[in-house]
Amino acid sequence: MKNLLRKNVPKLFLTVFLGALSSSCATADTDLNKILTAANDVVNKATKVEVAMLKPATAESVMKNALRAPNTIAGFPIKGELKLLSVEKAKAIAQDILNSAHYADIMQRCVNDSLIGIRFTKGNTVVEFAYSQPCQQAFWAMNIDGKLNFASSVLGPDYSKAIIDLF
Amino acid sequence: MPKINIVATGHGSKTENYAGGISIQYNTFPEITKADKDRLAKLKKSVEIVEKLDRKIDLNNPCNKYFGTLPRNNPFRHYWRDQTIFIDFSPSLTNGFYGATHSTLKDMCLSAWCIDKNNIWMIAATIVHEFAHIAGAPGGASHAAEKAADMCGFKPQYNPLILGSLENLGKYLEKLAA
Repeated sequence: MKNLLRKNVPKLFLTVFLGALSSSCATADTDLNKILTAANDVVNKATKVEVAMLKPATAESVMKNALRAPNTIAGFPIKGELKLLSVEKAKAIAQDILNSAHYADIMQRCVNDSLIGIRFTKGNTVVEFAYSQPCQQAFWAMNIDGKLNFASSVLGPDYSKAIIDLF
Repeated sequence: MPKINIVATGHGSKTENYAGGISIQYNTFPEITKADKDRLAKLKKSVEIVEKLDRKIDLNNPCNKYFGTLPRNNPFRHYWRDQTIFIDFSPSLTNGFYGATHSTLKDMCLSAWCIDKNNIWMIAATIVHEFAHIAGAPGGASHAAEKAADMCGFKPQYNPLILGSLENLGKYLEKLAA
């Protein structure tokens, strides 16, 4: 038994270490406040803002594609064309979506029909945002310190009109 | 099992208001028209499905085990047999909105759309989903609660498109795979 342990302890340590490493890479930070704070500068001072209609997707594919697949916004596949949005319109939307007090923690069962995606770019930094109907869910994706951060919550109709009016 | 909120229970109706202008109603089920009575009868059949599930499964069943991994760490049985939990009525007819759980974790509502436009199995799956919220599955747009429908035998009713808190989904999937 002792020999067995002695032989396998290094392997065990390696497994635990790699497990922890892959776990920290596989799970994103859901802290909405953290991502809203980090995204503030890029969203408010974006030099390029693109919008598109998006298709619903499974949690697994969203997580796999967020900020990795170019044909997605926040991990949701782009449906149709990506359009440029004026900085003025983007600023109006930014006021609504960057305030954490505008979000609600609602426990609901709801299936989305469609989403609207917005990609904010400032220099080399990209922040992606998606808003769903009818569930009114907001999804944020951004790399912070080289790690994918993903947050989601519910944004009510008082603060989503400018987004819905895009299409 | 939970109680259905009808007039005889004296539980009454309430509304929960959220930031951004969202309101969700947790009402007493109306029992006046034939449509009201049909709706209630359909709900009772769905509750009976979940009741049978609870009686059939032991604590080592994936359903009870999955609920044990949720933040409040209790099996499904713990919540299902809590008779202080109510199933309320939401008059919402919004396509795709099935139901919600009140922040007190003592009330869940099922929407008129959910009951009127879906079969008893989907309604039962929705009840299990809302119980997962009571068990601590995150709110916002969490997928963890929907995973409960899958883990409790409602595979055809499980909808992988219902998603949200991906960090939590990742953690639960890791736990399940372990």
